[in-house]
Order: sequence, then C-alpha cells, then structure tokens
Amino acid sequence: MSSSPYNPQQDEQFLWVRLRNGDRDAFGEIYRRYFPLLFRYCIRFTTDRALVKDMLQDFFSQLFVQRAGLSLPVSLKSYLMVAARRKLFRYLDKSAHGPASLDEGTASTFALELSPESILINRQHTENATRLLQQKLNALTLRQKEAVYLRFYEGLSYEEIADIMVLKEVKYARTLIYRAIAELKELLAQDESALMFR
Amino acid sequence: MNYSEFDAADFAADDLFRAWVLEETGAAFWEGWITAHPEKEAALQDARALVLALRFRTNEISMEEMDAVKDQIDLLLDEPVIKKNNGTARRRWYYALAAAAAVLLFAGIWYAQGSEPPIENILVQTGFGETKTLQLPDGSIVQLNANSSVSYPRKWTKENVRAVTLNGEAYFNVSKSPAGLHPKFRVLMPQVTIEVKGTAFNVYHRHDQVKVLLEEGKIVVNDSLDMKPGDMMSFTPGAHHRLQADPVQLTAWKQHRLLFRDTPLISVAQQLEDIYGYKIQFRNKKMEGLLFTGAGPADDPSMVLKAMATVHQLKMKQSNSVIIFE
Repeated sequence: MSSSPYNPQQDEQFLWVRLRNGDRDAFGEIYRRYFPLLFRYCIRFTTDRALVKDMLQDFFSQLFVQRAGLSLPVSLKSYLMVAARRKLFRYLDKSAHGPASLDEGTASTFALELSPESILINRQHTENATRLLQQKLNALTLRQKEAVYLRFYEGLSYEEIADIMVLKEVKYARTLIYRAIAELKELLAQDESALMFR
Repeated sequence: MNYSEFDAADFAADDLFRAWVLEETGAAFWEGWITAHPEKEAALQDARALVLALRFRTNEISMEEMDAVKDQIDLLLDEPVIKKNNGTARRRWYYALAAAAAVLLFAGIWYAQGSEPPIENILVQTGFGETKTLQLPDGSIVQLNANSSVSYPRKWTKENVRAVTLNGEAYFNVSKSPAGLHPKFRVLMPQVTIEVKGTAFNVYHRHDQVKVLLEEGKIVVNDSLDMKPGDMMSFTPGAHHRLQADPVQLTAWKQHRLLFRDTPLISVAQQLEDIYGYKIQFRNKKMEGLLFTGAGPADDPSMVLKAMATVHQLKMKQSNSVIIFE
C-alpha cells in the first residue's frame, strides 16, 4: 500500500547513493523493500518477535544516522543481511547471558520447518515421507540449515551466502549445501523413482 | 546463464527453474532444454524433487507491525537535532542521536536532557513530584505523572497516524476520529505499541516494563492483542501477561494520591524513587519483602514514608533525597 514513486526496477545503487545524501524517501524505500526479508530471516534464530523488531528498528535508525560513513555495497541485499545478522547476534548475546560471547555465540536455533505445501512426488506415502524429510532437516547442523534456507528460499548465490555467514571462502558455502543435500538425497531418491517428466 | 554447468542444487535455487516447477511458466524453454541436454536429466529430476519438497514455513511480519516500527524510527529521526545544518556540529549530533537511539531502547530517559526547543516535535515533561495535564492537537487529553515525558509532532495531518512517544506514566483520554486527522492513534514505546480506538487508558513505562490499564473503549497492543475495559496487561521484553493487580492502585496518581495495597517495600521504594527522585535503601534484604498497605497525598510523600517505618517498626534516616531504612 506504499504510494512510493519508485518502480521495482529502480537501480539499488542509486537508491543507496540517495540514502547517503540523506534522502528520507530513499530510506523509506529501502525499509519497505528489505524489512520483510530481514525479519523473516532473523526470526529463524529466535522465537522472540519483539526482540527482532527492536533490533531492526535500531538497525534501520542507525543505517540512516550513520549513512555518511556507508560504503557502496555490491549487493544491497547481502550487505543488509550481513549487518542485520551481526547485530542480531549481539542482541541475542545480550538477552541470553550478560557478557557477549564470541561471534557465533548464542544463535542456538535455526527454524527450518517444511510448509504444508511441500510435496513429495510419490503421493502414496506423502505424509510419512514428509515427516521423514522434516526429521532429516532437523538433523542438519544450524549452519547447514541456514545455508539451505539462504540458497533455496532466498535464492542467494554461494558468494552472498559466504558473505552473510562469515565464511572464509566461497567453497565452504558450497560444501555446506552439498552435505545437506546429500543427507536429504537418499530420501528424495526413493521418491524420484516415481517421478515423471511431462 | 550457463545451465550446462549447473548441478541439482544450482537448478533448485534458480529462479527460472523454480518458476517452471512451481508455477509452470517457461515450460517450452525447459522442455526444449532437456531434449538438448539429456545428460542433465537426472540432475533436473533431483532439482525438481528438491524444489517441491523444500518449501519452508515462514514467519512473516504484517504490514501494520512494519508501519509501527517505521513510525518509531521516523519519530526518532525527526527529533529536532537532525535539522541542524552545519558541518561539524552536524556530525556530532549524529553520534549523539545514535547513542540516544541505543539508550531509548533500554531505558528511555534521554528526553531528560532535551536542551534545544523542538522544531518538529513537541516535548512535554514533568519533574519529580510534578504532574501535568495537556491537550494534544487532536483534542485528546493526556495527564502526565511525575518524572515522565511525551513527545509528538507539532503538526498532525490526515495522512499520518496520530502518534505519541511516552516515557514514564500517563493517562490518555483519546478523541475518537477527529475531523481532518488520521483515525488511528498510537502510543509508541520501545517494546510496545498501543493502538487506540477512542478510549481512556493508563500507561506505565519505566525500567523496561510497560503496564497498560484500559478503562474505556478498545485498544490493540502490538497489532495483535486486544484489550477490553478493565483489562490490565504487563509487557516485558519478549513476554506479556495479564495482571491481577489492583487498577485503583495504578491510577491513584491521577487523584494525586499515593496508594499501596499489600505491596512489598522494595516496590514501594521503587515507585517513590521514580516519582520523587529519592534514593531509598534498606539495611537488609528481609525488609525489602515486607508488605505495605497505606495511602497518602501525592504532594507529601513523607506521610507514606513515615507510615512504612511505623508499620514495620523500622528506623528511617533521611539526608536530602537519600533515605535509609534500618
């Protein structure tokens, strides 16, 4: 319902430049585009909606206040995700146990739950298979889950995932996903036998 | 896009491939592509199974929640400091503002130092032991308890939700849908946003805790929780619960009364500290849990203090604003 004068194709770099010049409309547009994405990502690390909203309020306020010192990121999306994730972890540390622990500290959960829309192609035992798949998902490490989410839900590249998850090399992002896929594949392979291409 | 180097995981994350699987768009392209690349058929099958299976439940934010957070950000950014227009001073203000933003989240006392006359926002505050009644641009009445502040934009418009930021405690009597202004009215606090539909209610916001008592009408808290007249709710970061406490006690300040019923001394002391700026200490922990019932005039807290001492046979020493019970 935003009556924003921008079209979706608007160049993000230009938006960023305008933000740096203190343009509140540009700030509002960045907020509108990225708040939902950052929220649904951050809420996977905690069940505390109020904490995530507070954190993002603080995050966006600071973005505007400190705009003059911002560099021009290659990808606005991953830049914001990196920064929000870092801030979220600080918030989680603070709320969990006083003094901050080291970087990856307190994120003790990453919610990755199949939606009811998930379909396994072999419909005869869909329910059972879905439960098994959820079990497999639950058994993944936090970092595997996060990588799977970023790749398959948010459609991010391996480079962006490595950035966001603070991995030293892009290939580690690949490895995380491949290991996760291997875990799931066995299950999916059973299913695949019934798969038909039109 | 060089699809011939893609593996199953790559395809499964590819927007066009996903659109084909989930929405059956671009079928002609993909069917043609498979025919041309038979060696990729297995990868495509894996990818298709992945896309169909890996659909995740998401926890989305509502439009209203998003607007409420944006309102708070705008209110913060619109504070007069940002309107300053000279080089170095400006930079300092940003840092001050950034620091203020952090403080606001946790304590909410930064208005106390408001030294500049507001340009965009009006700030009304009360000192220790002082209450004020004010009228907002829409005719709503706000009674402000001691050591509290409200801030709101000078100009109210039809386009913007009527919004007031509160620190401390206040009683609101809100005008319903005033002509020429936005029908919604919000009370903004870091943890809690109250949305009002023509109503009278009391809000307490100190020490990271928010307590809301609704007397008339209807309000919605944080876009999700409806309150009915007589309801009293308490909000702390990440949690809320219904209070069984005594509503009379919560609004006694409006009648310029101090009123306590079976209240532990430590809580009585906290309230007196908040309202009068005292520093109250107890010689030992046991005293803090003793219960106190009593009332007195708000303009003379010494009566309540003396009653506390008498009832529990404590000695009270006072020097300036520091009071010690032993």
